[in-house]
Amino acid sequence: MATIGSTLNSNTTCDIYRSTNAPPANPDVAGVPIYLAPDYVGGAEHNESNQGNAWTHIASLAATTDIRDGYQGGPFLLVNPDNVYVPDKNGTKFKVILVVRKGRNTANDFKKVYLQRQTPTWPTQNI
Amino acid sequence: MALPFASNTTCDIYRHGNAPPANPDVAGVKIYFKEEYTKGSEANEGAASSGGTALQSQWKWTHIAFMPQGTDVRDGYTGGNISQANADFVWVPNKNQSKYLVIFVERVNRGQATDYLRVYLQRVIVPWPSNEV
Repeated sequence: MATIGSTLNSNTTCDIYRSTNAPPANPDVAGVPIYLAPDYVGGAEHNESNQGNAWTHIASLAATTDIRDGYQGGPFLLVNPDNVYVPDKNGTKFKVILVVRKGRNTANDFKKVYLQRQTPTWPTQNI
Repeated sequence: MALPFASNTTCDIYRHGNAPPANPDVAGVKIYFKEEYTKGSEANEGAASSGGTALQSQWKWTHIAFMPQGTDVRDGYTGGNISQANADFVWVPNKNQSKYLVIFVERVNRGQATDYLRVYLQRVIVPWPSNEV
């Protein structure tokens, strides 16, 4: 378990892949401690007219983590977003919707990542 | 792991393609079950207006079930879309009563004492008269 910012303890890990990379190849960033929280209602409520861009989960991770979204501004078009796999490349795939930084230059500095769960391999608890 | 609330009913879980009177794929799961029609409607009103009733019915949930972590319950969410052909059905309190489609499954309080699954459900069939609604 790792501390994220100053308040969160990680509850799982992930491997991060650039859009041109995928398992079984090695991840671009491996074994990142994250705090993963479900947010299906929040994503649905804020994307009522376009559920295709709704997020389903939010991950918090260290502010220095190299993780990239594909947001291009305005009308929602994702270009080459990263994918993360929880807890590792053999787990469940999530598409990165947006990355923001919280608590910039404070003790509680971390990245908040909006994720959209993809089709898992059932049965699984990595959801 | 324990549910955050005492269970208030049970359910039988069927994979898509399996149905009563056959035996369920997962039988007699103790759940906490509640209605959530208002929130399910509120979160899908735009989808309804842009895509019509078919899309509305595809996304809307009417109920929530809390299930123990480890329960084998499966949704048809494919990342920005829903494949109902791959979603489980849940029958409350058992295969002889009310049928619900699984919209989405998420894990709550991961790794904590109250680690459980929150399952978004859409009511499908009720054998009236019924109190299983």
